Amino acid sequence: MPEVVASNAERSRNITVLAWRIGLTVGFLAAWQYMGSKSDFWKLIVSSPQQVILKCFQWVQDPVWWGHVGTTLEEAILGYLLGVVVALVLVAILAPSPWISRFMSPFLAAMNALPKIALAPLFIFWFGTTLQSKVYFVASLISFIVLYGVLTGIRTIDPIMLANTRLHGASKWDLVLHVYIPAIITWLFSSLRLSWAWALLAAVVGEYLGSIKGLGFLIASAEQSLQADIVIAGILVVAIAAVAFDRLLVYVERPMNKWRAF
Amino acid sequence: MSVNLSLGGPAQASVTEQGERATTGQGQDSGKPATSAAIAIRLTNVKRMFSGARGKFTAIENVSFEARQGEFLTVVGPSGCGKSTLLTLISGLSQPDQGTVEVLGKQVNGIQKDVGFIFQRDALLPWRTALQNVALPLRFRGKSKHEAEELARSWLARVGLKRFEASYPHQLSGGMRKRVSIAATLSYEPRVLLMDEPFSALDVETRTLMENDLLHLWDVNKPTVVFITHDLQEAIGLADRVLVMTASPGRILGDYRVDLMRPRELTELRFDEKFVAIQHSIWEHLRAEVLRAYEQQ
Repeated sequence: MPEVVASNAERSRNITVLAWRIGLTVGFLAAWQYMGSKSDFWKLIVSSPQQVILKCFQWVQDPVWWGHVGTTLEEAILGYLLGVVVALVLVAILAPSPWISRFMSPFLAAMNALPKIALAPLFIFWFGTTLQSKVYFVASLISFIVLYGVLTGIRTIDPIMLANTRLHGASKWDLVLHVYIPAIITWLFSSLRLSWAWALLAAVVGEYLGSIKGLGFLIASAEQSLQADIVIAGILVVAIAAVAFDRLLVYVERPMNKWRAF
Repeated sequence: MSVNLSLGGPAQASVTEQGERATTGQGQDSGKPATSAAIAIRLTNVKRMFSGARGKFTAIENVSFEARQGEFLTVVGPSGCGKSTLLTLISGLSQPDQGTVEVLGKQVNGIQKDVGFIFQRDALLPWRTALQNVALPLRFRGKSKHEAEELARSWLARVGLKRFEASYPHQLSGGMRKRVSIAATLSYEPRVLLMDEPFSALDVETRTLMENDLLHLWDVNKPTVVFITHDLQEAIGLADRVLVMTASPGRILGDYRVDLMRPRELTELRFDEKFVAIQHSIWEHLRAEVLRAYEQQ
């Protein structure tokens, strides 16, 4: 039976791919471990997987470290929420009015083109090394990502679909509920996923540049004392937080996407 | 074997007059004066322009015609002659730059609840099942959820999609999606039904079957239909009257009464002598316009 043959071939291909991935990871870690054990100099600048894992284990048992993680997450989450709310409010203002959208579009394009990470020092000038400065910095960054994502979603709505729904008797509110919102859900989630990674990044960068707690502060002070294991372990923890939240969003979005072809 | 055709003269001739001349002496309507009550759609000297990248361009000009209640009107013309513009004007999706459009005795100035529109392209909501797509217009019209779904079920059954209630549009074929659109529009029983080349994307067999089904569905409530097509055979097979439009800017070139028995069996009709004769005489007229449109491109 051809179907079974096909799925067998596919399975063996999948196994090969998996084997290669594991092989590459192990090879990379082994090479890293080898580099780190070559001399004290190398150990200082690249550390080693063993040390990084050890560091992580120490951290997990250390309430002070959890305090740093809590600070970073607080900044990222508050900034994220604020940014999403600001973006959605802007969408609600811009989307229904072609005139305002047209008027605002060059300003939005200019602001979007700014290298926004480089704005971090400004936020620290304005709001000090406080929680606020990080929250506003995170929010300023991701509100643009979400705003652009959702506006693009609205622009891609088929005008025929809108006309048809209006002809079927939909009021303005019906259109929002039955056409606009379902149409932008996918765009909203993809920008939410993208912007969470940016929210963490922005929180860490903000801390790195000026703060007394948080993972960014840990990384910055480890940099001063040449502790590569802490820098790398810190990066690892940020990556884990990014992936965990991303998976959560995928999980939340899935039931809303059941109408799509897979 | 009498072919009752009133051949329109040159484009400048009064189309309305031709239409009425054609009407007299026809079937059950014979002798009945064309009172305004019996007129479902009336366009008077309508002009519609668009401003595009290459400046202003006139889509249709000097268009006047009437459609009686319950009449099945088809409009043929070369591509780009503004046929679709006619429908957006009648539906209230757009307004004329000159002239007036009246539907069911009222001047059109927006979308009306009594008008249904079936587009050439797919317009179903992809995130709604077939059943929900059909139920939605009824919900918009204030029916309860239960009532709307019951009605939607019966309409889906009527278009032969009982088994596909729970399917999403992407799981249906093009023909099935078209049938869902038709069910969704007919479910609220519009008195005027506008169709913009609805079957042009379907294969020939599916198309003939769907035209047949459409005639059966139309026969139930007899809405006034304006059906746009570029296919002359389709136009004649479906219609009580065929309007022929000129190449851009679109004007009405001719108005033909199709005096074929109803109910019609479209799969057979193509071989009917009378049908062939009507087709021949309209084509004589249309050919020059098709060539002109072709040269414009």
